[in-house]
Amino acid sequence: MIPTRLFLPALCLLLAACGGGSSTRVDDQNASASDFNWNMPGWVPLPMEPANNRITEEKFQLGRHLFYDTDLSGNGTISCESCHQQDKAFTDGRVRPVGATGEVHPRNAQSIANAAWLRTLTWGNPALTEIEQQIVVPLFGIDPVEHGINEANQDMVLARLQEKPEYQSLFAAAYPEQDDPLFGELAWQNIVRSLSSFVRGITSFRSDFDRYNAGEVGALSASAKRGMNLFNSERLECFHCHEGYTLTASVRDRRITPTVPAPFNNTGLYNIDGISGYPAPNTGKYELSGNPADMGRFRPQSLRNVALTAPYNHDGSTATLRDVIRNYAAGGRNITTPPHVGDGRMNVNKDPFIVSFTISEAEIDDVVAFLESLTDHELIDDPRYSNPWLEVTVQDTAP
Amino acid sequence: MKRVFLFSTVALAGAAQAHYIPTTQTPTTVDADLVATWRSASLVEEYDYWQVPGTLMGGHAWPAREGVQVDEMNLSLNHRIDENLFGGVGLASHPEGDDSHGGVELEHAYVGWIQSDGPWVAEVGRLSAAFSPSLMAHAAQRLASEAPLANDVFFGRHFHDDGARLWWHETAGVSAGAEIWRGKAFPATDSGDGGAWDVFARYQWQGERWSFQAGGWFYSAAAEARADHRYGGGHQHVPVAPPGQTATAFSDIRYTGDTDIQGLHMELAYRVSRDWRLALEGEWMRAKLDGVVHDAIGRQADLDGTQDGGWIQPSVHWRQHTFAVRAEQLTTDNDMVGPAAPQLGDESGLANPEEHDPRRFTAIWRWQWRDNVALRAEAVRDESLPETENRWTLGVIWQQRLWPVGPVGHNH
Amino acid sequence: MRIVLPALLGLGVVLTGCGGSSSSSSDNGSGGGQPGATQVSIPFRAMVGNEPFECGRTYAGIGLNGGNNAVGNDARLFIHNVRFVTNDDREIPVTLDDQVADHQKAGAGEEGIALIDLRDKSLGCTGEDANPDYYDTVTGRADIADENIRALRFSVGVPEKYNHIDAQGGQPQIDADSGEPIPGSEATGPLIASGMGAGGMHWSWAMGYVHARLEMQVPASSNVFYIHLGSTACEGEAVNGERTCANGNRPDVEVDGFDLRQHVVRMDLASLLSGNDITVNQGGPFGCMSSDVDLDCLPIFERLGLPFPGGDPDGDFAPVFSAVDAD
Repeated sequence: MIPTRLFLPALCLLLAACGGGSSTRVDDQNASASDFNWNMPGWVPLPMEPANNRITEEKFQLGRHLFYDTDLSGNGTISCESCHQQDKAFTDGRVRPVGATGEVHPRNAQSIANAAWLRTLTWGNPALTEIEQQIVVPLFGIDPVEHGINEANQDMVLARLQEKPEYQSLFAAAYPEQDDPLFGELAWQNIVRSLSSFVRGITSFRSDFDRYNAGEVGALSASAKRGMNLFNSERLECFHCHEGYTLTASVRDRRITPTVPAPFNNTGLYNIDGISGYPAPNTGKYELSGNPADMGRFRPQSLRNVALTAPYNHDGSTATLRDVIRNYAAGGRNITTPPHVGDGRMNVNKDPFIVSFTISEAEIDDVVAFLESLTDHELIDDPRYSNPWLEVTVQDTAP
Repeated sequence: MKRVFLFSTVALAGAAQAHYIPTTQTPTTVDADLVATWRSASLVEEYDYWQVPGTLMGGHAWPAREGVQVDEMNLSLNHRIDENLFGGVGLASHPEGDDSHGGVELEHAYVGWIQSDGPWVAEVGRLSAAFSPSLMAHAAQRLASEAPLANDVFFGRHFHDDGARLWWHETAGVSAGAEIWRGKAFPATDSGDGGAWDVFARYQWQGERWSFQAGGWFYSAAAEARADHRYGGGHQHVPVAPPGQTATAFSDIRYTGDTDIQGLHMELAYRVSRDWRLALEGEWMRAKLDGVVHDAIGRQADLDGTQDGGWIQPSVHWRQHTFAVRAEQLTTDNDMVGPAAPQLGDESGLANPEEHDPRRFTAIWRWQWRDNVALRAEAVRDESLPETENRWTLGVIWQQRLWPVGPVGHNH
Repeated sequence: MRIVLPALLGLGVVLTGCGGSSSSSSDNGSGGGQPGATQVSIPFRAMVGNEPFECGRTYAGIGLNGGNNAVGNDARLFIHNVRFVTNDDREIPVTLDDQVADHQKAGAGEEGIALIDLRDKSLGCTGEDANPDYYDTVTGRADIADENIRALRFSVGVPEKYNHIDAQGGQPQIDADSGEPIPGSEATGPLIASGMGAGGMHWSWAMGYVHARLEMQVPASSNVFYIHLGSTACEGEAVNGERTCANGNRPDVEVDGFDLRQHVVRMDLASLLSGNDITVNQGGPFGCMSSDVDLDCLPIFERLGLPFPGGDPDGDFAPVFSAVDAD
């Protein structure tokens, strides 16, 4: 009998002669390269940036000043912050926000944290995919009027900004290649691009849930863990639309080339007159597409910081997270009192994942605990995103 | 005793055994085999996935699991319909990785035509591939209980697919032919632009004491959004682990593109005496991957890969005992390019940060205990993953012609 | 869906070159005009009935139900695909000049786009100073020297090819398959000028241009009756050049009897509003912002020859665009 073990060294040599030296070389074409301080963990893939508006710290800081400046409105009464307040994860706590001229916006103000990762930027509009495109809507829009800047007053608005000493250096630093970025003909473009840079730079990935995912098992309470399992269960089906690291299927980043249409879903909130209607003008994707199947289809929201952004749904018509969960448990919302009477559960456009399920009060507590674990407590008082004009005031009054 | 010896020799020597054309003298045959093996350890943890670094896996390449398991069961019926026609049906079971994928599969269902007094054979239906002897061989026919690593990685362990084959069949020692496949078998897909084909040739020579067989083949597959169906591909959710254990969702990364694989195989045997026989077997394969790795949310990266796999297996046969060592190695050389390349590399398993060369060594003792029953013991040093796993096995192999009853040897 | 308009009045038209009468008509050899092409200038006038449109001026008797007072507020439109029609019904394209970069994009057919701004006062139509963007005459070249012209045709709006580009400029559309920029998809000329600031000619919410922006203020309610034409029922990614709209809402206009030597193109807001009670909003925003469920749009679309649910695009209405003598 031959000692088989003696073969081993010989065979190893034989194999070694055949090569080895395995390797996989990975070239991400600089997708993970950025000089900007994104203020987030390294595992988060970088967001898309338009080629003509690469983010810089200087643009970000200029945009931050503009964001908090009420002079950036027709009558000097509102700023971006008026509807996007840091302590509420950049929402306003109201059912529906009010513009500079008192016009009530038809839809609820939504969080702008992590907007850089969204596939589409507003509640139901599939056309707005770039922050630069979106920002001109609140600034210059007339239906509804938000900031109320129009042709008649835009020179005056710009003049108010041009008078402020802070902007002289901020504009010059942000656009060093321009001769006169504050007074030149590109001033409005510079404003839009800086605001976009600030919004793009507001990131929020520091929740208990993120710590749990990073291996800190104790970061979630037992209740939140139970809630997470319910959230990911076949019974509740939440995770289909609120998936991934942004907790929404409406996501893109430098690593993602979207190949499927941006997601919009009807969750059975309305069924006016039993013909699946949604109250105008909040008809969702239908407003732009004109396709009846798109009636009531809205983008799945990111659930990050959702505990701070009440009330809920596109029109702020759901007061609490518990009510949101109950609507889903019912498989939609049955409205029996005017003006929008109709059984949303029967809406023909309702997403197939909106099926009714039974859930106990204790389980609702657990799901809410999980949703609360998505709150980034550092975001709401992160000085990087706070009102810079308040800092200036403090400095001015200091001896 | 002599008959037993002949049986085992023939059974072990011929991977061609997996392809059998019933004779007009014995028109109907029924064969069964069963391999059950106990293993001392699992290759991966309970809620973990077996993914050899630097490769894209799939098919039925499940990892070795601790405890007793039926490695496979085969039941095949072959019938010579007339002078020129024959047919076969084969059922098989294979071990699977989790609860949801078990069961018995129809592996063979085909009709064949054989030329009268000529070499040509044509078959159509569900077939096993004939191009690689090792890929055609079942666990009962191999010396080792586990399929070669290269077969696991490149072909998902087995190859059964709907297709057709035309070949020059074992005439003057030469077989050669071509096969075309629907594409259900990994690494192809059976979608619109999927599918596969191959060509092969081999030569067999039998002398007084020496015997020799060698061959080469080329296989080309096209895949569209191919999933790793071991763990992914369908409607997926986070697997549920018992309290205290964690389970992560399998990353459903897809491959669209071409896989071209070529192989060389050989077997050399020398009969020293009536009781002693020496043999050396081996196969080498090279896979070229040219395609795109992608996922459901639109991340993608171009993949250009060259992967080599091979094994070599010296063996000593003494009466009813066989002692062998199988040494295996894979080398992988991949380039991934695209914004999502780092993540897709990690999630697909193509990433190989430790530049690991997967290897496996199997020392085998096989004892043909009865005419149709053999016992097997193995010691395995498994370096397919960066962390080396050692395990040993004990197994039983039952392999028998059930019909016609009697000592009919396997012949063509 | 052509608006056929009889000529009403007449007067001469700017015609540089050789007066448009001889085969040896001018060939300046510049601006890309073809050999033998005649330099042409086509003036536009906004009017309310027979009165010239002026910002801030009050007009009586506008609209249905006896008519109401209305104040001129805005009168701008894009046009493209400008061409002449011969007596034997051949079309002769006008290749627009690019000499006025902020107002015209050079070219013929869909490539030649002009932004006509007929507001006589300052931006926003509210000041006393002259409007620096005022632009009423389209210039170009056409091979009409030997032709008998019976009509002028043009399309209102921005052609679909350019309608969904980045109006802020500097960002071409990117082909989704190749990842390469789509040639020519970067905004230029009037397409970029209208997209920045509160320019008013870009419908940023819908990622398209405002094809026409015609507004009358209603003093009784201080509302503005908007007529904003834009393409609707759109799908596809704008940034990838894939966006298309089921309702283009670009009227194709024929100005019958148009004679370069004596006529201007009249755009009559009184005719346009003749089917609306401008004091009543029948849904959506005040006036018509092109929504096909806003009933205020129905009579307006009919008068522009555009299809509308329940409307008659071929109805017989007083023309919105017509040839009138230059004064």
